[in-house]
Amino acid sequence: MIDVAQASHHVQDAYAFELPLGIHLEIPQPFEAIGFRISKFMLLELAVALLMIAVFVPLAGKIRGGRPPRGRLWNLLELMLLFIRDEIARPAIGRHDADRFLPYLWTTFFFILSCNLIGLVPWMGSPTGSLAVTGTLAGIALCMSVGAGMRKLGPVGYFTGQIPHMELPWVLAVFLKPMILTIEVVGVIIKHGVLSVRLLANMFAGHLVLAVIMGFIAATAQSWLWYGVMPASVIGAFCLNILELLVAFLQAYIFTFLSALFIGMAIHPH
Amino acid sequence: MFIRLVPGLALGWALMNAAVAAAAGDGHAGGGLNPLDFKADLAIWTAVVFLLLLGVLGPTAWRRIVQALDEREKHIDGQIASAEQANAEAKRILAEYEQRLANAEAEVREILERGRREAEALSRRMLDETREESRREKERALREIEAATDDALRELIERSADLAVDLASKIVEAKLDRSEHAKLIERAVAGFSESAASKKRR
Repeated sequence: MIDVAQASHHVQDAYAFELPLGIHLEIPQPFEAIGFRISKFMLLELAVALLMIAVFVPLAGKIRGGRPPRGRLWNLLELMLLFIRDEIARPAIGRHDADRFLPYLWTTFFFILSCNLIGLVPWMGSPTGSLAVTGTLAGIALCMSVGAGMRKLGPVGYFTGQIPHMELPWVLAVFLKPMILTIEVVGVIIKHGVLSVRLLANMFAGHLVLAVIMGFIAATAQSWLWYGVMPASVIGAFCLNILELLVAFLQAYIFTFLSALFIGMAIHPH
Repeated sequence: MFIRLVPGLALGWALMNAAVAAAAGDGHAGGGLNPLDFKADLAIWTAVVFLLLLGVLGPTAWRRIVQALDEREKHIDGQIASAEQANAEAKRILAEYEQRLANAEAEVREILERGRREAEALSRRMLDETREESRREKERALREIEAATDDALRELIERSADLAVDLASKIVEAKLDRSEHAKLIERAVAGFSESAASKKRR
């Protein structure tokens, strides 16, 4: 039988890398004494962050002074940066304010995209397949939108801006407006919570399905069925990997787009 | 910016943590397969890595990229503006030269027309003058002929008068008889009429 727990083991965070030829590479734990253990996802996040620094700092140098970038990779990266600026940030936040949020949106997009993509590298994993990661990113998005709204409208202005404008007699307004405010505030938190669950579900489910399909091969290893299951599983896993590639980009885009939309809603109430 | 974010971040993270802890309360029974498993250390690590990344990339990459893109846009806008200006200038010059060309054509046409007109007038004038000249020449010839005729007639009359006087003196001298006298007159008249007839023939 397929051990789903066994399959999910490859999807979730771990304290070791399972490399080919049965090599089991334990991550050294220098801080275990103070109760802190370094996990696989932590190292991968760190690798993603270093990779981004190694890529975008040189890109900034290459286009300094408005020069066009030379080379396919640099043009591709700049195309993505421009896409986020022109198709996400400016329409969602407004041309005037958008550029202030570009550093956050660019970091978010490329961090999530890289975390998604590194899960497609053999023996690695997707940190975005863990709620701790997606939840934290959504929490930062929440702080960004609430912080942006408060900075623009003041703390009081931000919260009163959440209440839709209504012509009410004051007797009703005293009861209704706090209730509406509560609903709106909870709504904002839920919207950001959904942001984290959407990304998590997409990455977790995608990798789980891949793991299960590959698990079919192990499950049928003792039987003649293996000769039919193995090629089908390999082809299926290959196709799903292509799909995962699309999902990796799509989810990074959706997270960034919705994040920009929430910021836009916070600084332009109604 | 990050310092302002931290309290809010902590609040958001705490809310999320509480929500997840509630949701995942009975999810651990599945033997490790729990997508809602929330690891606080990974969450803090993620926040630290993300915010540090934002802090590093902000001044070293993002701000410079924004600046570079703005500069490029400005540069392109400037180039478009100068190209438009050059285009307008070229159009203006083209129009000017076309106008000049049209003017020159009209001028050439006018010059040709004037030349033709002048040539016609000149030839007509020359023709008229020639005609007048020949007419005057003819008139003068006629007048001369007339004058010559008159002279001849006058001479003839004078000579016939002389002849008559001469004849008369001869008659007187000779004391002619009646028959000789008649013959003489007859001869004189014949001579006269002969000379008159010859003049008329002429």
